[in-house]
Amino acid sequence: MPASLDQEFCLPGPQVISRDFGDEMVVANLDTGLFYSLGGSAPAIWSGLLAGHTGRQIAAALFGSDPATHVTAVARCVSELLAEQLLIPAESTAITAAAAAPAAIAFAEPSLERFDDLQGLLLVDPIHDVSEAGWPVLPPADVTAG
Amino acid sequence: MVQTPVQRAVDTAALLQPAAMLRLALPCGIVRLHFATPALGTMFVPAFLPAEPGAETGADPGAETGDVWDIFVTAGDQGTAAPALVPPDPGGEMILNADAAAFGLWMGRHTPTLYAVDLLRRRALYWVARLASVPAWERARPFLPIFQAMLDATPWIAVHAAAIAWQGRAVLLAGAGHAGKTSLALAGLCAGWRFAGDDFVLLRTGTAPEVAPLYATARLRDDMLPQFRALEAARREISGDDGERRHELSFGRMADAGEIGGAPLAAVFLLDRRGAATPQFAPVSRTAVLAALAASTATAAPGNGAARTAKLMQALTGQRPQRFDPGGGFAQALAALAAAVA
Repeated sequence: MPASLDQEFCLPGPQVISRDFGDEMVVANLDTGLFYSLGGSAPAIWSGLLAGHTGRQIAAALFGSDPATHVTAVARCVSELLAEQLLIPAESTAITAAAAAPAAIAFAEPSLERFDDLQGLLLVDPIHDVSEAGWPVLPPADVTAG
Repeated sequence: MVQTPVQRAVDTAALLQPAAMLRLALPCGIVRLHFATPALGTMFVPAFLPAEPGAETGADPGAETGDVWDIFVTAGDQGTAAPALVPPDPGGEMILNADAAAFGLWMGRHTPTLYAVDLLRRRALYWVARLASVPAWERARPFLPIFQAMLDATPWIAVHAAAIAWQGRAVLLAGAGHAGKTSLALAGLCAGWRFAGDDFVLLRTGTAPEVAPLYATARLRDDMLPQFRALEAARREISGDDGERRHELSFGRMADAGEIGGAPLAAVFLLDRRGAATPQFAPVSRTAVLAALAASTATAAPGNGAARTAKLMQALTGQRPQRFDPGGGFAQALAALAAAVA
C-alpha cells in the first residue's frame, strides 16, 4: 500500500519503542519480536513522523529547496514503516500545530534493517497475557497436592 | 483489602515452615530463599553465592533491615498442594499476568512451573509440579522470572550474556546460544579474570553501568571439559538437556577458582565466531546487540517487555559495541579483550 504523503502517523501502541543513539536509531516491535536499525535519513523521517509531520512536510523541511526529488524516498520509507507495523495512521491532527518543523539535513537514502533473533523464540513459546480476572484458576475442589 | 490471586498463592506458601533458608545479597535488596523441604534446598542452593558464610541455615532468619524479599520454594511432589493459580490445563502454553502490583507466570510447556511475585509486599512463590522434572537449565539459573520481576523497579536487569572483568573493567559478551560465551567466560575465570556469569548476569543500566553475578554456576559442554581441568572442583553433575551432555559447575564453595563478582561495565561485544585464526573486532550496530540480548532474555523471563527492552536500550547508551571473533585460542582472545578495555 503506498503511503499517503499527506497523512499523519503515530505509534500503534506501547509495543513499539524506539531510541535515538545519535548515530543510530533503534526501533523494536515487541509484538512481532523484530528489531530495526534505521539508517540514512530514516531516523529523521521517523522523528518527524512521530512529531506529527506528514511525509510531504518532512521531505520539504528536511531536504531543503528541492524536496520533489526526495519525496519518493520518503514515501517508500513511510510505506515500509507501515508494513512493519511500526506506525499507524493518526486519527487526530492536534500534534501538527504544536510541532516545530524538522531541521534541514543532507539527504541519505533511508534504510530499514531487520533483526529477527527474538521472533523465532516467540513463535516457539507463545505467551498468553491475561488480566487478573482472566487467569484460568483451578476450582477449589481440584486444588490438591501434586 | 481484597487479596489478589497472586497474593493468596504467595501467602499460602508463606505459611509453610521452611526446611532450609538461603540469604542472598542482590541489587534489589536482601533475598531470602525459603525451601519447603531439604530436597528443594539441595537442588537449588548450589546455584547461588550466599550473602556471607553461614547464610545458609534452617533457622529463623530474624529481623532484617532495608529491602528484603522472600521467595518460597515449593513443589507438588514435595507436599505442597498446587496453588489455585495453576491452570486447569497445566500442560498448556505460557500464561503471563503482570502489572504494578503482581507478576504471575505459568510455564506449562517445558516443566509445569508457576512463578508468582507479590511486588507490593516483596514476596514470591516458586512451585513446580515434580522436583525430578526440573531441567538442568532451571537448576543452573533458578527462579529467573521471579528475580527479573523483582528487578523491574530498579535500574538493574538480568540479561542473557556472559560477563567477565579484568582489572576492574567488565566486558559483556552477548551472543546466541553456542556462540562461545561460556567457554570464553570460563577461560577468563581460569586466567584470573573476575567472573560474573556465563549465561545470565545482572546489568545495571543508567549513567554508571556495571555487571554483577546473579548465579554462581556455569554449564560446560562435554567436549570443552579437557580445556577446563582447573575447574574440576566445581563439577556438580552431568546433565543431558536436549540430548546435549553438559557438566554443571557450581562455584559457590570453590575457593581456588578465581573470583566471582562484578565490576563497572567497560565494553559490550557481540560474540560471533566466523573462523578467524586470530581475534578480530569489527563494527556492529547496537540494534544487532540489542536483538541478541533481548531474545533469550525475553523468552527465559517473559513480562514487562517494553520496560525491559527500554532498559537494555539505555544500557547501550554511551557504548559502542563491537563484533568479536575470538579466534583460535583463549589466551589470545582474552589478551585482545583486555587490550580493548584497558
